[in-house]
Amino acid sequence: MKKALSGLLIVLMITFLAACGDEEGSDGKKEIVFNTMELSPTFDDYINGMIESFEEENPDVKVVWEDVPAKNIEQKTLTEASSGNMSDVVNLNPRFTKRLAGEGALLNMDEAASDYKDRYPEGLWASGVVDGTSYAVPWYFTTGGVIYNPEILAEAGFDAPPETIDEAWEMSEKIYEETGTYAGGYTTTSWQDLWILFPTYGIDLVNEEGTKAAFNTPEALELLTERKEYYDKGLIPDDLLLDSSLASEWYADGRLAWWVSGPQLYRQIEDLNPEMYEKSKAAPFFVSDEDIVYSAIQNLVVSKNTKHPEAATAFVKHVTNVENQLEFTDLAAILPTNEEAASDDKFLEGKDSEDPQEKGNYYSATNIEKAVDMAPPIGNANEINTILSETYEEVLLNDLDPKEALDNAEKQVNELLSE
Amino acid sequence: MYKERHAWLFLSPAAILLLLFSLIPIGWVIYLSFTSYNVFTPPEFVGLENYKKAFDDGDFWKALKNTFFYWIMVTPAITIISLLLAILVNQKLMGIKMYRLAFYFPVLVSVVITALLWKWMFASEGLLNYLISLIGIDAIPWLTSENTAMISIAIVTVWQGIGYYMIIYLAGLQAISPQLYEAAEIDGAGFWRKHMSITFPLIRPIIFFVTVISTMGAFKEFTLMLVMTGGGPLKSTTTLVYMVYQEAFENINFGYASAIAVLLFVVILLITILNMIAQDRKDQSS
Amino acid sequence: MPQQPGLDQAKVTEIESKNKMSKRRLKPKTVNKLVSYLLLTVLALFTIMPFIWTVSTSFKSANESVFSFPPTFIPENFTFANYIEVWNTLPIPIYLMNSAILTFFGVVLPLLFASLAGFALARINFRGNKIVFILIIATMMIPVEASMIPIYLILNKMGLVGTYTGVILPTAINAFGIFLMRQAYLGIPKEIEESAIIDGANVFQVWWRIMMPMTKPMLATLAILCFIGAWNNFLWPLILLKDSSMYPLTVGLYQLEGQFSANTRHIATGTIIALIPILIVFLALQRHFVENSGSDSIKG
Repeated sequence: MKKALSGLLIVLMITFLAACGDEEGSDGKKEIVFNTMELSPTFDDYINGMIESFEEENPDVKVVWEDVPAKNIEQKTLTEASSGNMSDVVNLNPRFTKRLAGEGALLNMDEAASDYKDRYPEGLWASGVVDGTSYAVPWYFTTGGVIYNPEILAEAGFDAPPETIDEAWEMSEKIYEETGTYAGGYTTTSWQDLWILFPTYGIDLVNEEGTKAAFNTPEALELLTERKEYYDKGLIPDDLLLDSSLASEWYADGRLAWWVSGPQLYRQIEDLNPEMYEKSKAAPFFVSDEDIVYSAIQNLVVSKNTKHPEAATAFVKHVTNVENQLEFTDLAAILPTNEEAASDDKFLEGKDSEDPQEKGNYYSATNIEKAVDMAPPIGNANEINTILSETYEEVLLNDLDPKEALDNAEKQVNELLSE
Repeated sequence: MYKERHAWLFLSPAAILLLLFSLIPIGWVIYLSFTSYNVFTPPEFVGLENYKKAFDDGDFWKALKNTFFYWIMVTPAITIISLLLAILVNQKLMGIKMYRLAFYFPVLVSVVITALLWKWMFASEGLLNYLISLIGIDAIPWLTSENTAMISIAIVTVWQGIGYYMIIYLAGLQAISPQLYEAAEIDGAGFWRKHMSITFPLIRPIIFFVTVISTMGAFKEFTLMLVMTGGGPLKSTTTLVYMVYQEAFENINFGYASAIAVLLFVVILLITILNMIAQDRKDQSS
Repeated sequence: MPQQPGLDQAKVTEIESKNKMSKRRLKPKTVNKLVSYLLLTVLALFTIMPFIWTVSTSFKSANESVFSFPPTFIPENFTFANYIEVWNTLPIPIYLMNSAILTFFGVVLPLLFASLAGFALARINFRGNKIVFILIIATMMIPVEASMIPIYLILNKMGLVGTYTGVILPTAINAFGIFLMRQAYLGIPKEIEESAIIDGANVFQVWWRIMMPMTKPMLATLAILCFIGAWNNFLWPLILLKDSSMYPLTVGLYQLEGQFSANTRHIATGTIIALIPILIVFLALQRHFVENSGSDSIKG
């Protein structure tokens, strides 16, 4: 028995050693690691094609592609960064881009990609800006949009969806009174509300220097007070307020008159309930007087500690060039961040489409100039969003006085920024 | 009989691995708790700064309170219910194996699907509110009120955990000789007498195990909160580990996150030592 | 064994010897049986619901709603299409193979190491026993969210990033297993090992031949728990492995949750595919922890 046991142990040790030995031998090429968020396997051909053409142009560079679940990319990036292993080129959202840039972890793109800056609308290039310097190149984006259920609207006597945010609330109230169905006004969830709502109405979240909160204004108070009134009238159900994942389910199940979301996600409705998708229609995003539109942007960043900054930057430029951006938009309902690519006629093709996603993408494309990244240009953007969403919940759920709530939030943000 | 060197021989593989992948990392976490660290630049020593911050941080105290509240609901319920369940499925009944498997399913199904279905049950117009409306009770805001959200998550935890602990108890029950029960039955002992006098004393080591493990589990839980409530409403389901996760991976304050982890460590350690002392006392008295 | 009221020690021994060879188990009375069945069935319905919903969703065709309220449990148009599509999009056999390798080590190593350590802690009275035990338990008190970065640093220093060894080693032992096995060894009467020692067996023989077989029910339990832990291990393989052809099933399956193309039916199908091996292992091991009850393995 003793023998059998030691035999087993030896076998195990050998297996370990064998497994240790399979470390990759490099063939003298510069290796850069490229992380994307949830694009494999749907876009395998596209991404591998880009890598191939890049490696052809740059024979001394080898690109290793890793696709990562969106919910784990922060954990993975930070863990790897702890031992200097952060991937060279990473696909991040603006909030995390700003967070990392604030810690000094990213390459300055105003310098490294200075020739690219002019290709982008200002509102999009801002998605990588912290303290006046940009640390990212925007890759693709969508502006917000609306998918709606014409049957519910007709039941309440409407034949067209609202155009402005104020109209959206008025109609929500009418629909709720007439049919008992929720519409949810502009947005229903606390997480997406104030930090998008304020900039949409031209209220800055922080001052220009990024040192103090700037949202405690009479206009903001008015907006928040209005929200509280809507809530008290029953227009914002608690379930939707607290759980942003429910809105698409409710919409698909016919319990919501419209769903505010980017057109790239409309197909979720088809997945959940094909019948509902069939009868749905797309509409342009609700606007305020400011005429700017929230947009969801995906960035590419380069690690400051990369061993091959030139190769990594060259790869970022390759991925975001006109040709590659256009090809990507053929495959998904997204828009190119690059002005030249965005002016392509094909984005107007969806104009007469009956398909909500194609039509939605058309509306989204017509809003390109209005597209703005609304996360404030500082490292703590994410924490400010958290403070605002809690402020919103305090007012709606706990009847906290809106003025007092804004004062508290201002105090918290100022404390955060003075650290 | 056995010599000391035997003990170390038996312990060595486990000891080496635990040293490398648990004790050294814990030492590192303790060190980090005295620093300011963002993973990109080397840690900077800041003394007790992070601990001071924790003691002044209302969110920390709230998370600590939430964690205790959760623990007090979850651990006793799991310890008792899963034992009763194990006794139930330890009977020789037709199809009992299938029942055992059925109770084990919550452990197997991914937390995402668990969250999805329980959110259905807890929805304001969901199944649970429908059921209680039948017996004339008003709808409960299961996940949408600060007062009830943690209780709802505790219910899901118990639902998820009883199968897990049931099979551990079951292994313990299997080791009890059936003859003991037969003897007791001959003496006319009923269900309760039988188990009070035979089952509970004999599986005390397992009960102790389940208490300790489920305590640690409760203090470290956060995935359920992450997927069901996102820590809300208004941080009412934010536990200490949730806070560790947020401070570390969302706010990139690894020093502060480590300090909270160390404080959590101290709390669990104290509770476990108290539990052990109580266990030793019982051992001596019996 | 503790003295209990209403239980006459002499009588127990008498009955025990009478029934030594019998494998007879308790037969509750009919009323008890009915109550048991009722309770069990109600509980089982509750615990099995998510599974039923997942199975049902995986067989729903694309023209059927998956989110409706109340949920529907029987697909209107039963189809295997989802299974075929998932099978065709992802290299499932490769992922299964990878999972099998990782899980094999994730079960065998902890079982072996935890048995050894648990035996020492429970049966050998050495200096520092209590302290070692507390230290082992203490390793469970730090959340992995905090210790993740230090563990990664160590693996990186050892050159194990990107290897299976790196995924396996941190899970090759867990304090939970040591603790569980210690409790199992604690429950074995002293007389059994004493007689073996008198027979001249050395300490390894006592452990391997006499003591370990007596913990079989607990070993089977630990095997199941380790199997599920290793099979569902997600974060470490994801962070450590660089090459997607090395991914285990759980990590491979996340790809069904695309950014633009989340398909609930496919995700449900993936869940079921990943669940089947666990079910097989559970049913196979259940025999061991149920039919080898402790009293049987005590050789007279």
